[in-house]
Amino acid sequence: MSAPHRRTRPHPDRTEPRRTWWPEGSQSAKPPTEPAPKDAASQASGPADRPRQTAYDTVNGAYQLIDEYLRQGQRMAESIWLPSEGEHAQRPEAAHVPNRLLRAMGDMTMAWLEMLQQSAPAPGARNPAPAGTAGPFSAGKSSPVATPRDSGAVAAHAGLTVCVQASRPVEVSVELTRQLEHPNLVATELRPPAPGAGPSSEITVDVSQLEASSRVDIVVPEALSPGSYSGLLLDAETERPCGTVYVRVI
Amino acid sequence: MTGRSELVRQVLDEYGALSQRLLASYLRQAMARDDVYQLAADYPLRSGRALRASLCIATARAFGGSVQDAAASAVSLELLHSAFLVHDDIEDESDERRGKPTLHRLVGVPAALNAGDALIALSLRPLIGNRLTLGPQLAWSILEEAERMVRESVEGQAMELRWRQTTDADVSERDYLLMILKKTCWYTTIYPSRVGAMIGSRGELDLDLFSRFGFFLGAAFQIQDDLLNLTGDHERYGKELGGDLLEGKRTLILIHTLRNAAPPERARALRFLALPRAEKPQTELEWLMSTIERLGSIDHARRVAHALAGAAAHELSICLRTAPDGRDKAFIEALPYWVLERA
Repeated sequence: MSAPHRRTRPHPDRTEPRRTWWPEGSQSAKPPTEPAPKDAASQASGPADRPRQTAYDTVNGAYQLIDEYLRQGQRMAESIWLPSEGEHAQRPEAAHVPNRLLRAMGDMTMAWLEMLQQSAPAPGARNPAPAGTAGPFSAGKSSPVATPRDSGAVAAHAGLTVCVQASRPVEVSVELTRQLEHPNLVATELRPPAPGAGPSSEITVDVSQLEASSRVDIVVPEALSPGSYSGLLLDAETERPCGTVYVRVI
Repeated sequence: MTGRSELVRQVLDEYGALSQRLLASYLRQAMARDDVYQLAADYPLRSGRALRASLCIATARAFGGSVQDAAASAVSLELLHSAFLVHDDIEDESDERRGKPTLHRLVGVPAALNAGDALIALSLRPLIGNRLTLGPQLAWSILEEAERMVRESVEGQAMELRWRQTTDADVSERDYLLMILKKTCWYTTIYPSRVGAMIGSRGELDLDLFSRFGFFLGAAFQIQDDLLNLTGDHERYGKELGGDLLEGKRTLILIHTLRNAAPPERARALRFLALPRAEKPQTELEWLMSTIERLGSIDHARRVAHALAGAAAHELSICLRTAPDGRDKAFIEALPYWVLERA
């Protein structure tokens, strides 16, 4: 009996990947790292299309070059100037961070001073009330200078005077964030920071204008619940915020 | 002349005139200090396109900056460009620049070298002045960009000089593209557009986008320059025709010729290139130019320049997508087309 005819697979044309698939006549020194897109240029095979394909290869090479360059360029540029400390050198970024912070702070300070100089009036002119901050300072029974009842505290900073009347310990901070030539301030009602909380009408904040400054009178009632209360100082004419008032009832 | 080319010409004239006025002002102050700056002033005051200064200013304005913001950086770049030209002309042993004798032909190599160094020194002052107009942080960033640009340019020039000195025939197109990326693109198109973008956006934009655009535009510009060196109108081109072959420069055109020439032709071309400039016979120069034409190297370079300009236009559309329409944006968008149309 004869052996049955066995069906076999046809012998393949090749048994390993073709790694030299780029077209003949290509000017590139190395093969591209990615396959060329399947467009008309890459599928050109005739002699008439070869010049165009050659130009396409050059431009494809240019794309790969700039992509590689951008990935490597910055690291390479930095490595040229690093001290020769081998592989265990500290990361340069960490070593220079404190100096960078100092420089940044120095730049900010310099810019702030230059801005103040530019906005300063000419010599001999009357100086407008500068923006200022008063507080935080404490008033109330625990204050060493307060009287048992109607205790109050007064703090003055250039351009701003704050008077607090409270019969219990409180912490107050008043800040002017904008310098006004002729300040005419009003205060909003203070309210707790909780979302949706209504304004507290129990703390009274009155703002009056003195000759060269503003005076803020704050009265904290005895029965007010402990907590934090804050509000805004507004320019009465423009209603733009000029500062903040913060009261913490201890 | 197309509408785009006309727009480019107008903007180059306007920003070029502005840069020239500022340049003249810097140079007048310097000339009052020392006579060396009289020599240094020669190249900056010769008429040029002011492409680099114009690209810097236009990019800054396209993203919201002002001419005043970008002017100092643009002037610095033009001074540095002049310094590079003085030194390049010595290294290339060139005879002409912008239609006049090169500086070293006029005053000798030592004086011309020193004048180039003086221009480098002058180029620093406007960048230092940026501290007052742009703030210390942005001014410092621009200074870092300038340092990188100078370093890349020097390294690119070193690559080219090595090829010429060793008459290295094995230079690929990729090698050439890397060389012009460093030598030409960085200070012609990459740095001006990066700095302009930094100034206009106050450092908010991704500068690598401009590196890509600048590379493709600068490469197209350089290849077109190489083509003009062999095929251009001498009076409009301003440099001697065939000068690149006399200097032995490896251009895209020459690389294509050497790769496609028959071995005897290749050997003959290499022998010509290896000769000192003064000893290169005119007949051999003419033979090489005709061989270049016959092997299709001119056409190849022209196709590559067109394709690179197209790539530049594509990258530019990404760079400028957040910039509002306006004349400066239109000018920059026209540049990829202009580099191919210029003569």
